Amino acid sequence: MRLLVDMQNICKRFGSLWANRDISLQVMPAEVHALVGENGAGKSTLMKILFGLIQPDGGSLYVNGKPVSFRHPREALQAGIGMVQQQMLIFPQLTSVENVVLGCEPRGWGLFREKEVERRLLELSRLFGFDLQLEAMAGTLSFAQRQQIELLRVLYRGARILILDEPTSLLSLPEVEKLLSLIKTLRAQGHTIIFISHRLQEVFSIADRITVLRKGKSIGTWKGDQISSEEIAALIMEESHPVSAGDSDRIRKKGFIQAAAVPMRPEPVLSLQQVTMPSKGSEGGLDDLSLQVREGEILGIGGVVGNGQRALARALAGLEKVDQGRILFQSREITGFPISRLVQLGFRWLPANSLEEGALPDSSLWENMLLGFQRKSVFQSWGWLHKRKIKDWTRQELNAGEVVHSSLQQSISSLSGGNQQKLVLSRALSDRPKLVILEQPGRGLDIHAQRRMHLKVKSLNREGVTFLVLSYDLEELLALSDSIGILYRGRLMGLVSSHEADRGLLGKWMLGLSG
Amino acid sequence: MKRIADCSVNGCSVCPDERFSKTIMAQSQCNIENRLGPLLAMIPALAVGICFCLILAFLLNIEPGDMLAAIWIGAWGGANEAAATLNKMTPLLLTGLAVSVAYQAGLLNIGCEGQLTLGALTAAVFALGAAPLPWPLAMPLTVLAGALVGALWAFPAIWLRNSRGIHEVISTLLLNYVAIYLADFLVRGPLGDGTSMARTAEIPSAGIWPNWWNLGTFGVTAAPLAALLLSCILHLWRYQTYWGYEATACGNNPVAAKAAGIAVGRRQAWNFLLSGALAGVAGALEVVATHHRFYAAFSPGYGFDGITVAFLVNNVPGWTWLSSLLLASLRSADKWLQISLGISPNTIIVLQAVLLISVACQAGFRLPLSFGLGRLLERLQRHSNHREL
Repeated sequence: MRLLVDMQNICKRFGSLWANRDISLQVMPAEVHALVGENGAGKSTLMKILFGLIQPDGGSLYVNGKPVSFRHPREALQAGIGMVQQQMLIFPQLTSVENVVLGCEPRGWGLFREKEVERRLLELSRLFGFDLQLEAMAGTLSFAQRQQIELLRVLYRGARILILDEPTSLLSLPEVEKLLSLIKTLRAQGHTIIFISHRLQEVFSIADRITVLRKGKSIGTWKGDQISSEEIAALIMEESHPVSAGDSDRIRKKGFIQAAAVPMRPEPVLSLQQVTMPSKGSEGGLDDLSLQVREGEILGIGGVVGNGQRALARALAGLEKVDQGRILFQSREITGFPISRLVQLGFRWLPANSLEEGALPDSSLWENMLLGFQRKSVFQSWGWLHKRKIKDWTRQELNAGEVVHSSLQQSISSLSGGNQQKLVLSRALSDRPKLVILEQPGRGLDIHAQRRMHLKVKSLNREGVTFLVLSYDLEELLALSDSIGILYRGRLMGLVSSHEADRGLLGKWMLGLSG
Repeated sequence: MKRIADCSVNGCSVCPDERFSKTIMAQSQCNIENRLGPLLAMIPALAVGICFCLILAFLLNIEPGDMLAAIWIGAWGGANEAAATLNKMTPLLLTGLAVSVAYQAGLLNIGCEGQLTLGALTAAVFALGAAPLPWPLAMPLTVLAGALVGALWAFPAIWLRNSRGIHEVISTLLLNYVAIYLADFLVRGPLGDGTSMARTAEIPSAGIWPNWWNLGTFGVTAAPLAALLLSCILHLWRYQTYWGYEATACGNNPVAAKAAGIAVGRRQAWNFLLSGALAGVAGALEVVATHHRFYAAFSPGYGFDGITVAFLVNNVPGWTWLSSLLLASLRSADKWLQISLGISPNTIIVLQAVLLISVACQAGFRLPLSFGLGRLLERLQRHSNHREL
């Protein structure tokens, strides 16, 4: 059979990291081809190469049997390839119609012929069953409708091959159903769809063929009816987590990870009761989430990106108000408390982007260490800062936290990303907090620094500090936490102790398969 | 570099964060408080300003030396000139402080002109009304009244920003016009001195600041000294107290400041009100020390010049005296330029704009300067960083 898209031995490196390594992908005409894999497996990069957003370092690309190389998305669109990106790229102040045609408006006598566009869009909408309000301001529309704008945008430009990068990640269940039936209609009309998703149920309900990527390599392509979702889940997870449960026990015995010495008390120190938050941007919200963190434990929360981990962290750090539900700390209601109260209660938050959310980029190291402690009586009297004391303390903390620096006076943005992270972590852990929310704590740290960080967390934990670790890295969660829960679409799929944690089960939960 | 930026914008999951922060690192300048920091902004700007003068002299067929000499003589050539320069320095120093205090918290107050005008009018009216008070009470209270009204005029801008998200640049800019025409209306009508001139009556002698230094015909009051003292206090407040630290943190990264429990909106509001008060003090001192009454449109744009003053020294209060002295010198030299060389006094305004633009373009000037001056300055900065340790 003639191949529609043939990508051969595509390679792409970012620095020392291989995003794509010898990936080959064949797509047939009028099929729904699903691309699955973990975060960072190289799916988005591969599709950006196909759409001309990124130029490959090696490999060749054939469309309709002809060799092509796209230097710009415009050229890909001319060849009939359109992409709907993970983030919705819309102009909130323009109407749907304007959003769709922006960049290729039909003009007559120098004027924008809006009526003609509307007619064509109505035609397209009817053909494929869209339900878009064409005159509405795009900023007022729901995510599902914004997505329809994006879809119309590529269809309007005559694309026959549609790349959908995680189109369902922000949609509610009925909206997903609708999108899937739309995709089926498109296929019936002869369009080809390349579909990226983490949700295997969706993949299996529409995909003709499935290609699995893992760590920048292609594992293989299977027909949808010849493989089960369990097998695919195993293929996605398998080699990327070479340490089996047995190995992790061995590491435990070596002393690298020690079980909590303080016996866990049954009463929860923090409990969330049916907390709901709206999704924001490309981030999922929380949906009726109930969760309990017991005193003195390290609870890890995992899941695929965009399933509400960030919303959870921001709600607990007090940065965003919850829509519904209650948050209790030591059986006191703290819902809606201002951040300063939470900090007083002993909450600390280590943000995922330490420079952007946790540091003062133009300020020196000691000023960054001081952030949040500037009113402590050790460091000031009558408002006057004791700079010598602050600097001494900073020097001590930086050395203990192994932050490589040349001077306390240098700005934090002159440190490497890993060292910035270490500084913000040292600050968060420096004054015996009660509850620490660690958001992707290992991000940007090398293995050695990660171990030091784990040891520090463990030792503080033995002294009674409770930790909530939010991470997309399952290995990190297994190494660090006492029990692990998985978030999926803002709900808790399940909670297991990490001794009994089975990667297969966690992997299934992450993909939305229960049991 | 471009690709990295592209893919971080697109949220590409394969890009390690290390790389992204390195890009940030390469782009961000080291704006750390150190001894030489503020001068690093000023020296390249001055170089550009002098180049501008030389080009202008060349175009007008004047000896370049004559032009620079005319500026010097006009500002410092004699006792009268020096006194005028010092008197002009006071409002510039204070509005410069006003802008830098707001900018410290991440806000741009370009409404100093209006705050200054209303501060001056209030001071004049208060001094007239408080005639029976003895001078030890009348003098400070007059200035305080000006400060209060300056802050009051800054309040709507910060309130609109915090409650409705209206950008303070727009609201302060527009409030300038309201203030200037309101003052104009008041002195032409109810608060005027009864003549056809748009001015108040002269304030009683109890409110007037006497000469402190009999330099030239007019002399210099203690106002420049008071402004200098204020700049020192503000410098200490900014760098030595936690209030100053918190305000700087809000300006530097409001997200991080908020996450650390600082009430960002409130901190910013206080700094903004302080900024308005300082502009009000500038106006009040003009009345009590220089004009002894309020004239409509008495200010030749001191409020706007405050932006140049503040940014020339990187918004560091302790160095504002230097930039305000520079600008005051240029301001008082403009007449001499016309008398001795026949150049329009407005040239000075253009020169001032060139200075401001070259400060604003610091990042852009980095590359060409890296061959000579820039590299030297960077080395000096690094040197002084190491000495701190």
